[in-house]
Amino acid sequence: MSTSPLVEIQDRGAESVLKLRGDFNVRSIAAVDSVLRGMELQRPALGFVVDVSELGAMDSAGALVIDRTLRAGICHGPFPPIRIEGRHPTALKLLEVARAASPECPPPPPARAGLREAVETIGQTVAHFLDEAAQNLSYLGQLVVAAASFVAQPWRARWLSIFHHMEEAGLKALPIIMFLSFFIGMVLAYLGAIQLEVFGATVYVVELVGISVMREFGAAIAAIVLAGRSASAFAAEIGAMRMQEEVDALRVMGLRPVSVLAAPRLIALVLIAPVLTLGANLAGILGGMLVSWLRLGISPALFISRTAEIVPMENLWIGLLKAPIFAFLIALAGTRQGLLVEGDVASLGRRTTAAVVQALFLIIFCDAILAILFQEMGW
Amino acid sequence: MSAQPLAPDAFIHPALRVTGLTTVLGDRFIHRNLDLVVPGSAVTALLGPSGEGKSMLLRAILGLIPVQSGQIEIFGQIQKNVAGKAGIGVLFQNGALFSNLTVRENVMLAIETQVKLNPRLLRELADMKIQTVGLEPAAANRKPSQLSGGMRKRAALARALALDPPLLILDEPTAGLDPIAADEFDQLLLHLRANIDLSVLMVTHDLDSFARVVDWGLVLKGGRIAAAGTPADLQHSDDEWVRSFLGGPRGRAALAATA
Repeated sequence: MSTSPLVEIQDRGAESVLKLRGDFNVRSIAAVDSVLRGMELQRPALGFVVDVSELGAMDSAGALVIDRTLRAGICHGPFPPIRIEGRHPTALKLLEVARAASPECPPPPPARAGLREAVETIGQTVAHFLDEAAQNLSYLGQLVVAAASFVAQPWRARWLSIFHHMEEAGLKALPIIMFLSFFIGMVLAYLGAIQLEVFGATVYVVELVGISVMREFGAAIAAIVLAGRSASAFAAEIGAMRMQEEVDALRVMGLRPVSVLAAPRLIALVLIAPVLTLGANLAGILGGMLVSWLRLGISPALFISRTAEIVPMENLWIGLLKAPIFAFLIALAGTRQGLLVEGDVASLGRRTTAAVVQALFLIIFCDAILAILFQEMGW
Repeated sequence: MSAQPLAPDAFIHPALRVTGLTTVLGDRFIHRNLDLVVPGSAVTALLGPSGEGKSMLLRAILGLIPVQSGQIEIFGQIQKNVAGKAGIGVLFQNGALFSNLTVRENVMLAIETQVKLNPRLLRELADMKIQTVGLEPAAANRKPSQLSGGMRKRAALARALALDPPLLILDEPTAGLDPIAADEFDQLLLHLRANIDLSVLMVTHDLDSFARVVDWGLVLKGGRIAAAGTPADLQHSDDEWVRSFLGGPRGRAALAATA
């Protein structure tokens, strides 16, 4: 049961009296906050008297609003003296605590964003993008050196760690990759069939499915799933280690985080990516074959023999060549963002997001470059 | 300053009374029919060997773990086994400040969840709490990761005190602090206890804290309270662990310093 707070001011010439009635606690003060804030007290010669004889419950929040009123916007001493009138078990001590806790004006919180800040943000974003690109390149160098030393001295590589990541990041992704690829293959065959039926050239569905799956979709789907699954996992794993100072512990022991944490993940992903791509190719072609058989009446036997004889095998090699490149980019983005995590949870979230976004961006960007390159080379 | 004599009615109106508490973790009993009383307006320490369930007892009181049987009364009110009771401020062992919020926002959040206040008053109130625990005003805008260990404990204490809880639970408040920072934290606790009507239950292994700020000690062993008494009483306890804890060279030095 609480009674609403009430403040009454009595002028006694040399002293001003603040008479408090009712409860002044955190649950009740919202009612008097604005009244007290608007109150302009004249500074009396002898100081203030706080009459607490009819004061109910008081807590530190209640003491704060009273003390704030008496200080009247003064942040630095000397404060007007306060005298307590009447008996109350806690009021005096609470007012003293409130006074002691407000000796200085606390700094204001950072300013809100305006138009100027918006323009500034755009500029900073552009600068940040370029900066990120440069940093990524420099990290790429470190990572290549670390991975190359494994390749040069394979007996020194952390094979246990590499195999662990091959299974965790690679093989466990195989079912979902094949599942997605199977449906993409079906969609390709279905859309192709509708168009090719117009010309009565439905049998070319085999080439359509074979070339597009092997050259583009197999590697791309594997890479996109890896970016979603593994870039985020790498960033979060390494990021959590950063937060627990495990990365610092490694460095103190003379181990380089890039060699111990990043390189094994990179190598694992590069080794497993062609396998995943092969799986994606197989599932995609199976999906296409199923639709061709049911929709167009192309028997699986014909589909397979046509795929083997007519679809150029370069397409398969191009797809399998792209897979490790994509894997490299995914591991690059994931491990780098993980190593950039700072102490707080927000940065872990930000970095994990950045890892996936950058990995996807790099994959698509690189795929476009490679498409032009292979075209020019006549492959 | 040192421990003050308990108020005459400290046990008549205790801050916390636990009766017949039994908790189980997996197939192991943590607390077996445990009774305890935390006197009002005093600082009570919960002592005991590691792994005897001190932190688990705090978690049971806070409603964070399920309780097999037993009753928990806070200021005479029987509690349901639910977390988030008003009236208890908690300082977790590592502070448990929300790391994506500034110190001020941490304190504001603790107030906001219970009371609706306008933002300006909310901020003033948070700033007052932050200064009450002895942090400089500039610390209010910082994130917990930008603070030292001692400052983080203070910030967490500011959050625990946000709503003037009559009962404050501290889990090893001085663990991991250097002697100076631990000493300052003890001073802060004494200062708060002298100025705010506060009952404190804390788990501690810090003998200096125990000797300087604690009015009443409880020893948890074998799933129940094995001994209870003032720090001076406990020195002459029948319990072997208590005697070796307080009677060892460190304990003797700490208690002698405040005697």
